[in-house]
Amino acid sequence: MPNISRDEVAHLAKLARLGVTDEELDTFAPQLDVILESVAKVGEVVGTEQDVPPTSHAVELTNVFREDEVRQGLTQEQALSGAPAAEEGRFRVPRILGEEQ
Amino acid sequence: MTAIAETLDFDEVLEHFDPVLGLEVHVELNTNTKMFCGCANVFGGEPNTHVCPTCLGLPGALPVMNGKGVESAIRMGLALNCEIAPWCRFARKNYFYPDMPKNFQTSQYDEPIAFDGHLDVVLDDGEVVRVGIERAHMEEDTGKSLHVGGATGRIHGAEHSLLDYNRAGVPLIEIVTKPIEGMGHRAPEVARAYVTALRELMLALGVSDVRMDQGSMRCDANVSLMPKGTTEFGTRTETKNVNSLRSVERAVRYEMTRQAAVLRAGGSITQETRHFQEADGTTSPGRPKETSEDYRYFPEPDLVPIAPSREWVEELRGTLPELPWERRKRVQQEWGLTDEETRDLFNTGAADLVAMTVDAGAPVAEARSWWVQYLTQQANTRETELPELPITPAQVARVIALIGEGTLTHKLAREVVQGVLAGEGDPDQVIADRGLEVVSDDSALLAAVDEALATQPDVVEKIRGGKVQAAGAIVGAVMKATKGQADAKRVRELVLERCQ
Repeated sequence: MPNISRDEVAHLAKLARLGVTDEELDTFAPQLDVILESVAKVGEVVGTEQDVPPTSHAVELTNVFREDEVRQGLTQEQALSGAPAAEEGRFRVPRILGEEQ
Repeated sequence: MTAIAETLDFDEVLEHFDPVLGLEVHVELNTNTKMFCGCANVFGGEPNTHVCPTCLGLPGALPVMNGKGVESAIRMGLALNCEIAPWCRFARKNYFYPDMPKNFQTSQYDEPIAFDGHLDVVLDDGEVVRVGIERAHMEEDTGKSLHVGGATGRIHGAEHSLLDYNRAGVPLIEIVTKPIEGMGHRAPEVARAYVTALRELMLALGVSDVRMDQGSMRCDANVSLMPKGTTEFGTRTETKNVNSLRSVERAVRYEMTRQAAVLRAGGSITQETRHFQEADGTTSPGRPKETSEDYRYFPEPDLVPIAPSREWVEELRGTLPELPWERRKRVQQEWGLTDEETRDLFNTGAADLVAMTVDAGAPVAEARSWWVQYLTQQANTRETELPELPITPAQVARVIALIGEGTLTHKLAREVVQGVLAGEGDPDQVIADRGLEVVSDDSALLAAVDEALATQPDVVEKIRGGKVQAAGAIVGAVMKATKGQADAKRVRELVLERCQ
C-alpha cells in the first residue's frame, strides 16, 4: 500500500537536484501516491511471482552482443557542435559544486 | 609541542589494533572498442575524438554490449576462482557529475558477473596469503575532467571544468576483496602483494595493459582498525586512486598510523574518502560519507540480460593460460631453484627474459645470473624496468656462448654488454669495434709471458723452488701487458709450463 511521505518526496527531489517549495511538496506527495497506487494495482492483476516473474525488459532476449570492431564515431567538431560551451576541444561546464565522484 | 601526534609509531599501532583492509581495484580492459559502442578504446588522443552519440549520451542512442568485454570479464572471474553468474544484468547508477554525460554510469549492482572467489598472494618471504574475492563486476569508465582556475588543478576553487569523453564508456572491471583480516604488521605488504598478483594475473590473461601510471589499473584502499581483542570492525576510510604498487603499501601504512593516533587520543574516525599524496606519502580528507550514497540503481532497460551458458563458461575456462602461480611452481621445479632464487627471478621481472635466453641456447644458471644480478643492477642504475633495457635475450645468450667458448672473459663480457646497452650494436659488433676479444693465441701470450718472466727472475726462482702461488705476480704482469684481454687461467698454465 503505497503511501509516500512528504519527506520521501523532498529526499527524491534533492537526489534529482530539483528545488521544490513547501507548497509543491504538499501538492506532489499525494499526486505521486496516486501514481504509485495505480502501479501497485498492476501487481494485483499479475498475481504471484510464479505467474509472471518481474522483468526489466519486455522481450525475453539474452546475450545480445556486438563484435569488438571499431566503428567511425564523431569528429571533435561534430561532438562539440551541440555543446553550449567548448574550450580546447573539450566540453566546458560551469563550476562543479561538491566532490569528485 | 602540539597536543596530538598526527601519526602513531607503526609498532605501537600493532600493540593496540588489528588492521582490516578492503581493496577495490579497477581494471580497464584492452578491447578494441568501448563497452557499449564501437568507438576506439585507446589511451589519450586528441580530446573528444573517440566519441559517438552513445558514449556522449545523445538522445535516441542505444548501447549494445561488447561481447569481447563480457568474455574478458568471465575469464577474469574464472582466473580469480569465482562463481560465474548464470544470469545477470547491468544497472544504472544515477549521479550528477559531468564525467558521465548520460547522468548515470552503466554498471552492475546486485548481480555481478563473478563472485565469491580468491587469489593466492605470495609475500616477499615466500609466504602465501589467500585473499578472498567478494565480486568482480562490469562497468564503464568515465570521462576525464580538467578543472580550470583553481590553484591546484583540483575541483576546489576551480572556476569551470573541461570534459574529454574519450575514456567514457571504456570497459572497466571492478574487483572487490572480502575484508582482509589478521595480517597484523604485514597488512601494508599484503595490500601491495595483492595488487601485484592481480596485475600479473591480468597480464597473463592478456585482458588489460594494467598500466597504473596511465590509469588502466587503479586501486582504492579501505582501511580500518579494531582494538585488539575485539571483533567488530572499526570505521573505515577509503583512500582513492593510489597510483603505483609502492603507493598501495605506503597508503595503507599511513592510514593505519593516522587512524591509530586519532583513536589513541580518544577521537573517532570519520567515514570518508581520502586522497593519497604521492609526494610525502600522507592522505588528506576528501568527501565525507556519513550516509551511503543514494544512487537510485535500477536495471538498465536498454540492455538485455547476460546469461552465459555452462558450455560457454567451460569453453572460456579452457582458454585460460598458465596462471602466474602455476608458472612459478613449474619454473621452480624445472630449473631446480630454491624458494629464494625463485622469488628473485620473479620479483626482478626476469622470468620471461631468462626463459627466452634459455630458448636462445644459454644454460639456465648463466642466463639467470646475468638477468637477476648484473642486468637488474643496470636497470636499477638507469631507473628503468628490466624488460625496458636495450638488450635482447638473444644478445645475452650470444654473450654467454662467447664466454663458454673462451672468446670472452667475464670481465670482457660485461664490457660487451655495456656496449650493447650503449647502442653500439650486437655483441659481435661491439667486440669487433672495441677490440675486446680474449687473446687466446698461445704464441702471442707466450711472448708476453716470456717478457714478464725475463723482468722478474726472482719470481721464476720462487716458482721453480715450489712456490707455485708466486706465479700470480707474473700472471698479473701479463694481464696488464695484454690490457686484461688474456684468459688469466690460460696465462697461469703457460707461466707454470715455462718454469718447469
